[in-house]
Amino acid sequence: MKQFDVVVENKTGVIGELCDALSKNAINIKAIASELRGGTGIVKFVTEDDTTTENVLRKSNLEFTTHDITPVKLIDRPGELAKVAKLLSRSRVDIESVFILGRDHQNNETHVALKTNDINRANEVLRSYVM
Amino acid sequence: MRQFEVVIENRIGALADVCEVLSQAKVNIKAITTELKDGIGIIRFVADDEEITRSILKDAQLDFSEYEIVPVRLLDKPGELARLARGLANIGIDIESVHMLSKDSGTTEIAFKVDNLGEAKKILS
Repeated sequence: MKQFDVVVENKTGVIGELCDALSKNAINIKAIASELRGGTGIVKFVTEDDTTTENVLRKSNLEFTTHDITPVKLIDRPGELAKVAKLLSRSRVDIESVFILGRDHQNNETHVALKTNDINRANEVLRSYVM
Repeated sequence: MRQFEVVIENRIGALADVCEVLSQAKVNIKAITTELKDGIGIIRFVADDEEITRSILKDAQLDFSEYEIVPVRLLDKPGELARLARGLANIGIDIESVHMLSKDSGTTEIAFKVDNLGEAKKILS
């Protein structure tokens, strides 16, 4: 699973433009988070189609990077993310970014995406949580 | 709905520390997103109990701030967020931050932080 980080000018309407570009190609955003860094905005997202997303971003001449992420399945209750974060820190894996992918109410689960400095090690340490 | 923003040193284990403080007080994280900025880490989250969260962050002497966000429920299909973001842009509202709160069968709940909460609520509600 890939996370796309798109660098955009920080002005009114940029998220609209980016979402327009994705939706015109029938790409559904699975998860999104944004941040401001200096004068630029960074939109981080995961979609249902990595390949098409990459093509669309390239054609739109948007500045972006891609990152492999570890999707994990957690029980939706206090302490679960703490447990996972602790497992990683004990193995000296640094969490660079975390965001919610979704929630499965039927099974009382939350799905979280972790971007780390060592994906192989993270996948190994979290093997019982990886989706 | 309030979003909390905790500023921490960017080091291994920092997220675990903050999550443990919350979990010891039985606070459940509803949504979370992080960012790195110039050597520091910023954790933004929405919790199921705002009062307890506020008091435990204070007790733990963590550097934090909080602000109001607008939760919106959208159909989980291409174009929904585009339509909403465009609607806000058309009336000159700047989206400062956006992230997902949850996803159910068919719908997605999104949190917006905007520069004009009053106006945004009018068109988002």
